[in-house]
Amino acid sequence: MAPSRLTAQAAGVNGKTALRFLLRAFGAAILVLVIWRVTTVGLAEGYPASFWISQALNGLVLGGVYALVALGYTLVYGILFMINFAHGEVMMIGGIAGFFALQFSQSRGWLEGPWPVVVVALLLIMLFGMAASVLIGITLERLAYRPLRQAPRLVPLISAIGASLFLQYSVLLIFGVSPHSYRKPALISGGMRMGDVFIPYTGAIIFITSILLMLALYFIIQRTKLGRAMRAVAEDRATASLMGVDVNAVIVITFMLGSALAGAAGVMLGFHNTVVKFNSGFVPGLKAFTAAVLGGIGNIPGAMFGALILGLIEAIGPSALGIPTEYKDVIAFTLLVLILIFRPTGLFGEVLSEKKA
Amino acid sequence: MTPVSANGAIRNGLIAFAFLGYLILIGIPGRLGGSALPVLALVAALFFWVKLRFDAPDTGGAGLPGGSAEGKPGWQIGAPGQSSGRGVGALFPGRGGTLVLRHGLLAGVTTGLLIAGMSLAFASAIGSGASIQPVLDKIVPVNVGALIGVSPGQIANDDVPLFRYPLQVLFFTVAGLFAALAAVAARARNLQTTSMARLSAYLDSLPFRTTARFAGIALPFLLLAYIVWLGIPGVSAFGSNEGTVRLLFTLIATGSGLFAIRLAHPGREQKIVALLLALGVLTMPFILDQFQNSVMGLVFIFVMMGLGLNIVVGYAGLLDLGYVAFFAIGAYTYAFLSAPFSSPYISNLLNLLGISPEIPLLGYWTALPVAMLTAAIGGILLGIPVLRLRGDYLAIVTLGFGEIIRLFMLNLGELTNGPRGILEISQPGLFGLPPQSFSSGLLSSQGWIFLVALVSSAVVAFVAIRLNDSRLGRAWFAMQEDEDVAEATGVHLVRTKLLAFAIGATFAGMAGQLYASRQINIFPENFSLFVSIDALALIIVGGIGSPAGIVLGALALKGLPEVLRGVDEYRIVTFAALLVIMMIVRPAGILPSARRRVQVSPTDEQGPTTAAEERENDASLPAQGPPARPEDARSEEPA
Amino acid sequence: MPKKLRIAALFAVTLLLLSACVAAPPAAETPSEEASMEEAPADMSGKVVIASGGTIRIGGSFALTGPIPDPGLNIRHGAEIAIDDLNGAGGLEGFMFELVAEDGACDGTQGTNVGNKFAADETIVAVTGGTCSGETFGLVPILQEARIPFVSPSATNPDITSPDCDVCNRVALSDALQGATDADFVMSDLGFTKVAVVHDNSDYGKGLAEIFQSNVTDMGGEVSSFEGVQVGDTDFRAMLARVGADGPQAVFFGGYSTEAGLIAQQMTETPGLEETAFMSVDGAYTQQYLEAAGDAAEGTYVSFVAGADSEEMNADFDAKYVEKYGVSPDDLGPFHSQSYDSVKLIAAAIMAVATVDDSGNLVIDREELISAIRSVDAFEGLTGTIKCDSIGECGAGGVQIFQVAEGAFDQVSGFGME
Repeated sequence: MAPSRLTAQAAGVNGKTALRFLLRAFGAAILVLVIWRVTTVGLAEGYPASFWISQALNGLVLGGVYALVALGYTLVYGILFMINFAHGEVMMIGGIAGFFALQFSQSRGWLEGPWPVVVVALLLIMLFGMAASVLIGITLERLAYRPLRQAPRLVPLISAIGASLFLQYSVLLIFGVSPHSYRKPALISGGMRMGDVFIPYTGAIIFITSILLMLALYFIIQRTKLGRAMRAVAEDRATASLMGVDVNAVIVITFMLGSALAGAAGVMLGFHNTVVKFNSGFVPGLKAFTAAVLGGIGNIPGAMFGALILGLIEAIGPSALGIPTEYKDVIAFTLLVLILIFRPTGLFGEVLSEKKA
Repeated sequence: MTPVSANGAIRNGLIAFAFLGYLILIGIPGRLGGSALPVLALVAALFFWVKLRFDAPDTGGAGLPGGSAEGKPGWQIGAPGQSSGRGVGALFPGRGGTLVLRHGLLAGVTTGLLIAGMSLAFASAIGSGASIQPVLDKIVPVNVGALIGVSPGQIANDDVPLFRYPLQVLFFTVAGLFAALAAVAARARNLQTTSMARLSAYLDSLPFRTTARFAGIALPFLLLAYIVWLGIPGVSAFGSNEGTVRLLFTLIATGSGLFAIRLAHPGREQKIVALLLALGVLTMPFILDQFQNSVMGLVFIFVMMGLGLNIVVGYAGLLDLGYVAFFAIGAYTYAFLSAPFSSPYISNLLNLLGISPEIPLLGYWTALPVAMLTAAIGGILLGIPVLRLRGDYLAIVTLGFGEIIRLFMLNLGELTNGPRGILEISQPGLFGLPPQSFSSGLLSSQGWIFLVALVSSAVVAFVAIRLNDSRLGRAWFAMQEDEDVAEATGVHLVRTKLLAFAIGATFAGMAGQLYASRQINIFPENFSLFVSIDALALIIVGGIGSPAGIVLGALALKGLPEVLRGVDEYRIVTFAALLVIMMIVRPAGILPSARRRVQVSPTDEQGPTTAAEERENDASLPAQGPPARPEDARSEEPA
Repeated sequence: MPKKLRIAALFAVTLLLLSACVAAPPAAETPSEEASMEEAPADMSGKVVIASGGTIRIGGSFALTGPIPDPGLNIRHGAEIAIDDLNGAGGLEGFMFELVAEDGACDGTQGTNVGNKFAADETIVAVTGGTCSGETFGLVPILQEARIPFVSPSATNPDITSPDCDVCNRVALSDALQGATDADFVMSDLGFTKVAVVHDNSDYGKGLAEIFQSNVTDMGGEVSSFEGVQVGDTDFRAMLARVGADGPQAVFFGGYSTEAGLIAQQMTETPGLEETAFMSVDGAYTQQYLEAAGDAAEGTYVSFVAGADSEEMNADFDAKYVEKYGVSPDDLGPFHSQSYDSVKLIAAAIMAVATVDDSGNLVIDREELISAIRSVDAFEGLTGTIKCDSIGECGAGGVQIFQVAEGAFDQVSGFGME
């Protein structure tokens, strides 16, 4: 979406250069301000190194969660060019389903057994959460998005917003208003302590799982036949279908993959933060969307790195700048603006053709 | 053919069960009380009927339902899907009647069995003292009892007569059969093919059209008269929720007025109708009661918001999800100028200038230009960094901007009083007098706000429409179509974009100022992301780019939830479901703009013209939606 | 065609004019209530007249949707039980009470809408609610104008009651008292001098946090950090790491139960805060707090505003609550007993001023009702003996401090201990 060179030469050169200069100046001003702030205030507080390390770890875990959700956003966006605004709610439903699976396992005493049993039980809980998310994801696609596939871009966005509200308040009505509290089994409660740095087991699991799932997803998309079909559909739906790709099936599978990731994120977040309720998908959803855009929406490694960067900035930013933590979202969004000023399609975003953007 | 049909029937039964199960889980039977079972059966029957009416031919033709690729050339070359409807329908009377009946029966039995099984499970669980309630919040004796048709006590004591369950099955079986019979009867009389044609021929005939036109024009006036009649003491509408009923009629009257203007012949007739309607609407603040006035005031504040956002999104094609920022700027600017709370910063500044910070600085009307100007500056400040961004990148950055403004309001406690908000903002006056004093009691304070909102939004609408027809409007439109080409043809992109942001922000600032004076007390939480979403949703529901559509959208999105107050906890779910259904049934909005109707789906990638686009094109039919496709019918129900 | 149109237009104009004429009388009558602020009304317009067989309608603004629906629902339940009890006792002279519940959504806009709805409905006698302070600020100006008194069970913002507002009352205690008591407890009883203050950026949470902070500073203590989070956040580790780096002896949190529980729990994972004391406020005096915090709840402090409640009345209330809603009141959050009391208080005031006229109608004078609520003295409620003062503070009792021991709240200090 950077203005193509041809048109820049053809007309309006003055406007373009002036604009670019204005933007760069704007960006540079903010950068200078940030550096000044970090050196004079942030570092002057003299936090120990262990503090920065634990903040960075916190940020990476946060980023891991964002990444799992952001991958779903980016997958759907890459293929349908629509923002699945209800994706955060899909994640929340995974968390709720995981909660009930956890209750069930606890009532059976599976989580007090020897560690292989516990691990299997935990995996089953996660699978159950993922299954619930997948179910909701494909239902959403079928009911709220498929009829709108040819509509102007804003229409599915509004439909998705409606679906998001609908899911939130349905969960509120069906399961009640009280938050559902996860009880961690002994195996994964607590964490590793290294000097002054503490790493919760759940945090480590989230980070590692999100990396593994991202790699698996990358493999599926780049190396398998299904992945090739997905890329083909993303490139040109009509042509792909002429080449024998079942477009509907590919889109459904995309939603399944994205929702499964979100479900996994929901369950893991449930274990990590111990509380799930009807609106607990909204804020992570929004952040994940930000992360996906930061990395260049539609791009899988981009979503991953965008999410990690966002998590890191949210955790470290306020301390580094010496401002209250309430401003972490302000920092996150300002970073987004800064990156988009210099790279209007995100960190890893390819220059899409104009029609798609 | 038969096995497919049986599968289809069971599938329909399952879908109906899923939908009814959802209603049961959210506690609808408990609300309905004794009539729960018949009502649920009726819902199932309606669903089956819709499915049979639009879906049954499909089971014979395309094999896997929904397998045809949305009119895209899929596996088979040629037009899939579309042919099957009429063809099979024509074959139908031959041997299809019993088939349909069997289909209905099977679907009904499936649903009935599942519902009965579900109620049996719930009843025995509650009866045996298992604690369902912490898991499923609404599965309480009252709800299950209503579903089975027994008293809550019987559920709790586990003495439900066993014949109740077969009775449930029977209810739904009968529902399925009735639906099938209705569908068969319709087919037998060949409604599907010829009478539709006859009907449409009749609809096209001149006398009918004339009558319909006059009826359409008269409708808002009749409704207005009815509203007035409802205001007479002692007259009641439908039971206790009278205020809400009257509000509903007010909303419909305003909405149908827009259609009436459209129905009138352009020229003098249209002008007269519009003038009369304007008069009628202007009397409303005097007629309505305080509640209705306050809701209508909010509706028209959001009309102003919508008109402003429409300039950014609808005219210039810049997707803005942070529009609430300017609304907030307008509101807070006015609050600073007119409320007793004054931040230390402002007080110091005022003291420096030699003005006492105790008294309000400016009145509503004198503060108006200030609020507009501040909002416009905010618009330009947002506009500069996002000049090069497009589409969804722009959306997320603007969203972030909205959040940043809200967070600043929340956290800059010394400037904005933080989450405790600014209290006692003064009301707009007229020549320095409060409204009650000059209207001799005719106009309540909320009515006055409504009147101001009405007049302001009329002014804003006028400006917006004139702008759209101006050189600038055409530049926006060109920019929306293709930025590079627009620039190549001499549109100054920077100026055009910034103007769009600034003008849009100005309108939002006006709306925000009025909102602040309506609320009297404002808090950062009033300016959350949901306000942006509401504003965006209302212009899309109404029909993007069309001022009349925006009024309709605001009526539907800000007015309707107030009417739905009677169903308090189901309010948001209902609203959300309506939003989704609305988008599916009428993606172009209720009243799409003329320009939108002409152009073919501008932002979409180059696909073949499909059903959705065609629907968009002939969306000029104002009242009823175009014939639903099978997918629509299916998606509408369980949503 | 044009001729027809002209006739139609003429018809429409006549209709409109007619409608305008007919409309005038009712519109003129309703706003006369506004005028009654200055002069005492002599006519019936300042009175609610309930025909025999009618019900006494009490409006209720509850946060049933929005950011914190949990306490809203609980408060509504409390009010419903109060109505049941009133009607179970025979109502008032055969007139039954009715609760008109509306969703205030914990939001000023919705509060304004609800207020206007009540103001437009001449049969609404009084209002219980709103749940949140923001919502209540939406109600205040409208109910003040409409002369409908309200009693809020849970809006604790100090600014809600003021000498300017004679319809504003609450049975919740103003946050000012709680913040001061908490600060005193942390400084004097626990002997800490360096505390960190965290709030949830709601008007309630931040208000309390600021009151606490200023009290601590006044008493010579040091506030090592003052941080905010958002309602609905679940990951507080980054914020806590920063709080921990300053090495406070205690962390004080102003906000609601879920966030409080999560902060208590995540503190155990934060270097520097593993052993630090944690204290929260009445928003966290719930079962949800205990659940969300898990084992980390042990040893934490929670303050609550309570009165010298009679065990008997409360046990009775709890039993009715469980019977009606299937859950224990404490599962859903605090303020259910305040809500019960606010309805009973309104009813008591109505009983004091209502008269039955000759034709068997119940007549309630609005101005008399407004002053009757203020003159309530020695009303026995669930929260204690309630006495309203001249600006509408009807909160009973005082602040209690609890410590969590073995998964239950155990009172360690404060009201009722001495």
